[in-house]
Amino acid sequence: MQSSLKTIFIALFVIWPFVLQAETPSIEVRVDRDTLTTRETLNLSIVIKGGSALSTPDIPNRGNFDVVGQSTGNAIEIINGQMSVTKSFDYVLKPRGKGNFTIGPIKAHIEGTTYSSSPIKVTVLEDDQKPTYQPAIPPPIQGQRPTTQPPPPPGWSDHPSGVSPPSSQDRGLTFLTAQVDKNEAYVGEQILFTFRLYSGVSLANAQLSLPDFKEFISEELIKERKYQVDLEGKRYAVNEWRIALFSTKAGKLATGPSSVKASVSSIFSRRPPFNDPFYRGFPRTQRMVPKTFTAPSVTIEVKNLPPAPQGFLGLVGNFKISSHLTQDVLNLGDTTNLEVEVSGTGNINEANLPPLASTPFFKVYPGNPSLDLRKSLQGLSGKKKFTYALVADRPGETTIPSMNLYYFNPQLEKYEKLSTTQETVRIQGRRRQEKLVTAGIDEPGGMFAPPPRALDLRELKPPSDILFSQALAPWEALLWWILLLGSPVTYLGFGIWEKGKKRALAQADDKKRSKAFKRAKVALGQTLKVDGGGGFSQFTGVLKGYISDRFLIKGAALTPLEVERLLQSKRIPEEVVRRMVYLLEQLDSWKYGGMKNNLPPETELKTEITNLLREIEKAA
Amino acid sequence: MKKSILFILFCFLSFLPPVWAETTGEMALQAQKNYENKDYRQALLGWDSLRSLGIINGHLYYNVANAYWRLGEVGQALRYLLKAKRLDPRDSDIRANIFFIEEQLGEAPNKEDVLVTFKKIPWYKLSINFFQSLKATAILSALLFGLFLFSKIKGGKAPRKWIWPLVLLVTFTGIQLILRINETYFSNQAVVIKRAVPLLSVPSAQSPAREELKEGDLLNVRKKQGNYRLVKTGSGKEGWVQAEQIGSI
Repeated sequence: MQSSLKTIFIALFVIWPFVLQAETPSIEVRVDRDTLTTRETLNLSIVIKGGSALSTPDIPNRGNFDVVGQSTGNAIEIINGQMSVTKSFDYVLKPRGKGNFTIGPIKAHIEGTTYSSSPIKVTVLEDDQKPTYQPAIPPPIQGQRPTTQPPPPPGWSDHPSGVSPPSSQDRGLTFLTAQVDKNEAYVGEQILFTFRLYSGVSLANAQLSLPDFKEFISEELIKERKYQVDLEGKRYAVNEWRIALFSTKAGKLATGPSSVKASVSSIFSRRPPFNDPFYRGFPRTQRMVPKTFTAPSVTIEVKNLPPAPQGFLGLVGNFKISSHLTQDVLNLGDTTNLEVEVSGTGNINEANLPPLASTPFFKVYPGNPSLDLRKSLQGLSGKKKFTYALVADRPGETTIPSMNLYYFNPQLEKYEKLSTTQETVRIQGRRRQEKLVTAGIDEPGGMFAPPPRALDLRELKPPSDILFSQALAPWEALLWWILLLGSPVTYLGFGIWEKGKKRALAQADDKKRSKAFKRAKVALGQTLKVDGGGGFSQFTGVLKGYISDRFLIKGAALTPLEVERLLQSKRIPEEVVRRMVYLLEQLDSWKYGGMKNNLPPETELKTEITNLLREIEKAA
Repeated sequence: MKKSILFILFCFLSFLPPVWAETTGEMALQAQKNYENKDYRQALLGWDSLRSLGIINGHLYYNVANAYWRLGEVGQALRYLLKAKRLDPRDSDIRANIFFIEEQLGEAPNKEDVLVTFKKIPWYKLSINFFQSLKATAILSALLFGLFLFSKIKGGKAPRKWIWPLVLLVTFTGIQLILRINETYFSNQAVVIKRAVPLLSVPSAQSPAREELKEGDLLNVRKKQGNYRLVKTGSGKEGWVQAEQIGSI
């Protein structure tokens, strides 16, 4: 019990996503013609999409028509997690009389809800004298230009082109038709190629050879569709194939011939023997005869596309574009996905978008596009989804530019431009913590190490750190400048002053030195008489005064020996030094010794002193 | 009378500074709260108010730069960080943020050149700003020349053990001062603060653009003419830009 419950639970868990994503139900009804005669038949096609496989349509007003043929088909598709169930019901209806009739609305009850189609108006006319033959024209396809193939004239001798007339021995007809929905198209435009095998007799071992479509890209739309038609009162079984073609170049292009090899049943009777008119004949017998049925190539005039705008990448058809951004506010390092979907009818697999370049705010990583093709009787359509992973690289607000897609619309015969919407993204500065892995190269450490790779700015400074001013007020700056410049200026000023003083002193000394002799002579002229001690002192004073002035020393207390040394140091000649010393000694002895007998006369003494000073003057 | 007036004035002045200090503290706290609440514009207004009160502070500029970065205004963020670096050249947070922004802008701060090893030495740890270098040079200079003077007056030679260190220090701070003066008054650096600024041939809005400058580019302002500035880019090109598109450092 428990294990079965577990199984059910697991099954539900697996199936549930698909159930949740089932396609929304719908019902489509169409007819292949809306005007016919009483001898003709009408193909009614009902397609129910979505819902369970048991859904069946509820067709009212069937009293005006007889159902002469019917077929059904089922299809279940799961694409990108979406499940779609399609059930088709095809009826061949023969009118009971002439008049204007309404078929429908046809209803289908799907999962408790009633879905209804629009009613279809049909006109049935009185039958003509001449039998009309119309090949089974494919149901009208929305959005396409009407076929330009001229209707064939009525009569058995007129068959769809390329078909050989049936053998008169065959009770029914077997023939092939190959048609295109348009004989003129642009390069890349979708062309629907329909190939039908009509068979009024049984066929066996049928082998189909479809054209090779050398100059086209082909996509099979329906593998085989079976239904029945009435042509001139005869019922045919029809096998239909439909292929979408996209021409690759301009010019008159041919699809190529198609053929079917099959064994056709043939009934024949033997001749009576002996030519007996009363012989009623042997029973007739049936035999399978191998035959080949061929449909010739169809020629299509393919035109070149008009001059294309820049950015056109070869998309032809009718398309729409939509875009979606998964996230518009993210942190640094986060990823958001830009999804762009191109949908429509045409060569959707050729859809391509221009590259989306990385910006200072984003690094762009494009993904592989996904293609969802839809094949139907109306042609090839689908969606192509492009996904771009955008990694936020810088904080701030930025705009993802719109992307343009150009396509050629063959119905309007012009180029159309599709653009995605611009998306605004806000990137915040906080990056989630990431661990960086370096390349493994050893970097030098210590004071030469480069700064570590940062993921974000560093934190704010606290309020206490920002409340004081680092700048100086003007008066403060002025004081500092004064101090800075004042110090060397003061020092220099002092130096200049000192030098000046020295110079002045030196000048004074020079003056003193230069005037020493003159002063001595003046002093000599002013001396008193030799008698008395005063005269000798004066002469001594003159001599010592001269020495003091001349040599800038204090000479008043010099002894004769000191004078001798001084004069010798000044390189005064010995003779002059000896005479100076002798004179000083004599003057001292005369002054203190009292020996006045040998005193020379005053003038002689003065002359001697003057000569002596002159010689010292010369020698110094 | 005089005494009473003086007394009143004294009381007034005594109470004034604390009230002012309390207001700026509150403003700083509020600005920080706004930043933490991701209201960066309000935070900027708060810090701008502090600047208008005369507070010139490298850390304040640093906070302003952070707020500009959060707002995606890279040019302004870089500008304020460079201003902050001038005031706090040794601050490692400021340097780290400048390095971070330059990396984000795709600039390679560590270009290989001949002086790469020399440049790797963290000289910035010895850097001082303009005001610090002025004070330091003034003080050391006064000491040095005072010593010389003293020796001269005394009649002897100045002692070498004092003179040489002082000479070195004065030289060091003096060089820093000269560099800071050059940086502050003569370099005229500016940063592009708008995205995709055209570098014009002539100072006119109709002028063709020689080049497109990107936000965060460093420029040297050569001349002013009305609303235009003649600038020189890092690659050596000269041209005119509108004054409101650049911010001086």
